[in-house]
Amino acid sequence: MNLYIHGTGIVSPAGCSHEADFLNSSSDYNTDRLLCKEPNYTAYIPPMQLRRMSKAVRMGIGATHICLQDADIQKPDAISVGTAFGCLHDTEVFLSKLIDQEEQMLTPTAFIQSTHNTVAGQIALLSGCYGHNLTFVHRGHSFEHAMINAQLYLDQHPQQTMLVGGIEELTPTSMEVLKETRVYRKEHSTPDTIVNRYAEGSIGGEGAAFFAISQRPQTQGIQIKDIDTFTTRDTEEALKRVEYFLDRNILVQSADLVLLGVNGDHRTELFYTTLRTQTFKDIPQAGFKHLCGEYPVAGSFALGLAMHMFKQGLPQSAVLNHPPKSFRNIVLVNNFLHHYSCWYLSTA
Amino acid sequence: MVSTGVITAIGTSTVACKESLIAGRSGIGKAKHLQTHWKDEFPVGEVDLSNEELAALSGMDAGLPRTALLSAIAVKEAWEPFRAKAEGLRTGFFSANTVGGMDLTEDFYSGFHSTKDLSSVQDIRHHECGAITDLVAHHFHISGFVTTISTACSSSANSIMMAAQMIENGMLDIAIAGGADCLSKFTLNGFNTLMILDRQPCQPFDDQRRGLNLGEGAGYIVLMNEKARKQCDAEALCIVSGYANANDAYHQTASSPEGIGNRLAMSQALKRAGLQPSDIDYINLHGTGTANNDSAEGKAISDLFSEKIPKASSTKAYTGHTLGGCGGVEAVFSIIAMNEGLIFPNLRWQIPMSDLHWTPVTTLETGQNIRHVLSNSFGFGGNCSSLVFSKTEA
Repeated sequence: MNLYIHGTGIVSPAGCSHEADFLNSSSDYNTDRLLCKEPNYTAYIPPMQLRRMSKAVRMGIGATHICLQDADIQKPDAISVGTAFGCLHDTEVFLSKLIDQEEQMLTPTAFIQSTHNTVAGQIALLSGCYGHNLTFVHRGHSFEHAMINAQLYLDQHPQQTMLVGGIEELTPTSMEVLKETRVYRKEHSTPDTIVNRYAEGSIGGEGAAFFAISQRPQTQGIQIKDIDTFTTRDTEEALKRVEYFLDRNILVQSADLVLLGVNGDHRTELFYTTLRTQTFKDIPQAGFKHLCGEYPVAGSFALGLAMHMFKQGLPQSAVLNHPPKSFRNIVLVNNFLHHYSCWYLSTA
Repeated sequence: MVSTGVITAIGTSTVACKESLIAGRSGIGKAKHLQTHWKDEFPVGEVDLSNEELAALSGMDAGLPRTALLSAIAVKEAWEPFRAKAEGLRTGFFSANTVGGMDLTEDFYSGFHSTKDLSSVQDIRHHECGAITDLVAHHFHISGFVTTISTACSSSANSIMMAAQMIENGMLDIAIAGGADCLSKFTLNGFNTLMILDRQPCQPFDDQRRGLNLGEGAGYIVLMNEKARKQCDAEALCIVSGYANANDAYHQTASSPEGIGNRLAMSQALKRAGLQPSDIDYINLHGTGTANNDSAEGKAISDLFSEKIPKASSTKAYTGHTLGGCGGVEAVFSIIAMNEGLIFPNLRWQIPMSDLHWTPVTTLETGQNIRHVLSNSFGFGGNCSSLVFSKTEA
């Protein structure tokens, strides 16, 4: 792969990437969910529109705005978005009215905004982007597949810049359902119990992270060199796939940092413990899910963290063992349930 | 492109659909399986099989979402002939849908909503669009690249586009690509709030058209590179020669009057195929039957093809609008048209549109030499996609 990141826009529980306190404010908490600290949108979303937007939509628009400013471009040439759950809030609003009102006297707004491509469509509409526009909804691979799509598109349009993002909103119902199905813990978590202790489930999370991506080399940024996604229910198999990925890309000793999707869920304990104590034993390690929570496109937050690190260093709160000395070669290994992904990033 | 699989209101296989298309047999009628307040008001293109019957055809569990069952039946038809021969080849599955497991979510939510009852939480475990794809991929043991696209009504045209790109780039040897959607109360009521449902069987591209009929179904095609085609002993039916995706950037649920995105998608797909507008012999229209879609699509075609409009028809009067499935379903229909030399009639058409200088084909035409077909899929969110299929010797 030869994708370069020219700009980043993050709306997350750790703040927004254009604000001074992004990733710097205290990460102490004792809660079951990490919700986004949203920016003030009024400067770029008209109030009438803002009132009608669900959190997923406004976070997506907000992160896009921050990203385009960071990249210093007016509008992207094409858009590629990943979201596993889509616009849950509006889906639920429409569904509950449908049930309460027995399919009668319904209004269209929630239905219109419930479709999975709402965010990508709204970005196109607000930025006047007539280009290629796709939304990937493939569970824990949604964001990674949006990025693989960027490679396919930019191979055919090498002069263009594509906006690639991941977005997920947490709602009270999704929180309850994901607790009941043990994706999230029933009890509260602290950062330490996510990073260093294992229990049944992880901590709820959400966020929007968008990137301006092109094939034009960027000297002051990160290049995405490879992505692999795979699905397995077998931890041994997952570890083998990580090894294959490393073999085709990099000597482990030359990795400056590995970002791990450590999430405190006991079902991933063997996977991440093996990576931490064996595969990447002496390599500087950082976590991110104790900062953004667990959600299907959390890999997009991790990529944003990598960009932030490149400019301002790794925040102490992310360090798992010891801080890195440089950021030339970064490996990211993540999972959401049985969907795993590996990224190789380089600043060379 | 070596094989097809399809299920819609007009048939449960490619051959069955072909026979209905030739006979002019529409599948639009009163819903029997969808339980809704509106079943006497809005006709639909329903597959007349219960979930148990669909489960028996697909080999899957009847307790799974209906979209997964429809998807598996079409995938089975397309993929079964090659499955045993594909050993060692890199096989991907590119699917698409818009409703996911919404039919079961509706059941779960009606209990949860009033009493916060979580006891049937298992009903919601396949709610995600991606869950449908995973169920089908798992059923057929497809373990390579597996993904799901959801761009409203253009979803499965986009999955075919991405599959073609990954084969071209050498990332895969085989791709099974298309999409599916079942009828649900959620979508029926949603389209009703937009006041674009027809209370009668729809009349695409007619001046008096009143709206669309929702339908359900699934359509998939199998793409192979040369290596896979040799190993699987597969004969090429046609090639995916062009594709493009553009955005109308006009309104979340309506097309721009001049069909900006529609025209961009069609012209870029032709460019990708290295063809001129005059090379296209048949257009399978998106043609939903809504005032807005047909007007915008018609205008974009008039502008792009100017005086020499290719023969064109919408097959949605047969199947209804199968949403996330229609790009896949209509890809299959386009390939039947090309390989059999047929142009299917735009059923129930009566009066030319006052704002259009051309009319769709309204009676079955046989013995046609169709070298290149353009298939359109346009949707909410401004998503517009066009695919071009060409004869292998063209």
